[in-house]
Amino acid sequence: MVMTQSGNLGIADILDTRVTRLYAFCGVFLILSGMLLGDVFAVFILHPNNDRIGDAVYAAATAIPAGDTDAIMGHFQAIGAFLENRGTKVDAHSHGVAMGYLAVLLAILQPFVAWSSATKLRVAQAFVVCAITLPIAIFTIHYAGLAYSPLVAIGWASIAADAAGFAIAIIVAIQLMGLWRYWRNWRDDYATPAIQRPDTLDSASRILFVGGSVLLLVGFLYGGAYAGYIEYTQSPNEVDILRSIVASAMERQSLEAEFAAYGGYLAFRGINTAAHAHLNSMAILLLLLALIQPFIFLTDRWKNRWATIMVLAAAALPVAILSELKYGLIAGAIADMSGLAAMLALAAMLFGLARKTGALDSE
Amino acid sequence: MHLENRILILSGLALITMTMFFGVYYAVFDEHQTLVGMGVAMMNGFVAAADGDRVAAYAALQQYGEIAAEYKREVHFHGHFGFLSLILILYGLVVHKLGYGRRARVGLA
Repeated sequence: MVMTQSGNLGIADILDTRVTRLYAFCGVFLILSGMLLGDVFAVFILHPNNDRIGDAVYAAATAIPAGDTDAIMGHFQAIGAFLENRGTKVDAHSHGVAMGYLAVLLAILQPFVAWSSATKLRVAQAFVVCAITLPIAIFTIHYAGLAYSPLVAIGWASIAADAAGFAIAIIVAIQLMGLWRYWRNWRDDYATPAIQRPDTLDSASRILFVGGSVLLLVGFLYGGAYAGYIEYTQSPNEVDILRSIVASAMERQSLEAEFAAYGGYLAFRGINTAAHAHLNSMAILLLLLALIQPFIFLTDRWKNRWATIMVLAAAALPVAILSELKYGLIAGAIADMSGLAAMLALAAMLFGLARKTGALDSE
Repeated sequence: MHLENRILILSGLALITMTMFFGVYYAVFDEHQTLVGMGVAMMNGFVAAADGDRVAAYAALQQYGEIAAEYKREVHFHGHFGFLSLILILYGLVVHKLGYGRRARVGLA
């Protein structure tokens, strides 16, 4: 898809150049991989890891009455490792998906980037290498640690992730300069008589565009309500809970109630944050997929089916995540199945993109 | 391409460049230190409690809460900046299709 000189979205073939193919396939591949990692992480790592963190904090608290500071320090060292394990998985998931989104957007913008084809190809290749390196390096941080690192606090995996992030920032700046070169002599072309209306989009694009916009609006409203009201009125205060844990431990009282409150706080914060993030992330995905529908070489019937499945899965995922507070693992299973359905639809669209390149090449 | 497309697409790419640079700066110079500070403050709270010093324990836990709030703000700043930039670019590609007049579209952009 390109924007024509008149500014309308046309259905020219961006998949006919190596540059745009690189961005488009890298993008969808990264989104799919990031979602797969997120699903695997949620099922196999998130809950067991949270339990281990809770157990370690509990063990540290039970060492307080005995005055065993060595044991406390040992438990906190373990907590640090558990948190790093969890944090790097979440970051690998979110950075992989975000780089995928960026890649698809760059694919669509390429016709307006005023550099030579050779330069654009080299920049695209560098982007693909860096965008794939970034989430892999983040994922590896926990396992590589500080082995052979020249720095005191930052290991090689972190250095690789930081370098990839820096390179991507430079690459995006290069794209920005290319766009600026294209628009340097711009003129506003409102003389163009017919401005296309949304009803000229095909039905799969419209399903995804409306679904994405509604989901985005809900995500913004939810985020605003959470940040402006729910967090202050319903969320327990973490410091107060920790103080009560410490006080009860010093007085050799039972810690069950305090740790139940602490677990409740962690679940409340984690689930609300994840619901907000997934609402907006899935909304952006729907909008992106709406833009690439013209390049998916499937029948309209199947395109509509996959678009509908994608919208339903995108809406169900955050709702199921939020329901985990009340319904626990059942809601968690629904969230995982929604993620799986979204991945299936995305894989089908990737297949359609691959078919489109074959059709173009054979012409 | 119209003015509203350009406003959104250029702003989006400029913001995403900025947030990527911020992310790298933050990861190298601030994040590790903040995370270590959080862990140490919480541990100090528990260690002070084990030594029977309730005042010091509470003060350390308060410090933990402040560092944790700072960490949350910084991570959310990076995350929100990045995703809002993507939304700018996305709508920059289709804003001309909205069924509003020119001024309204430019104003929205």
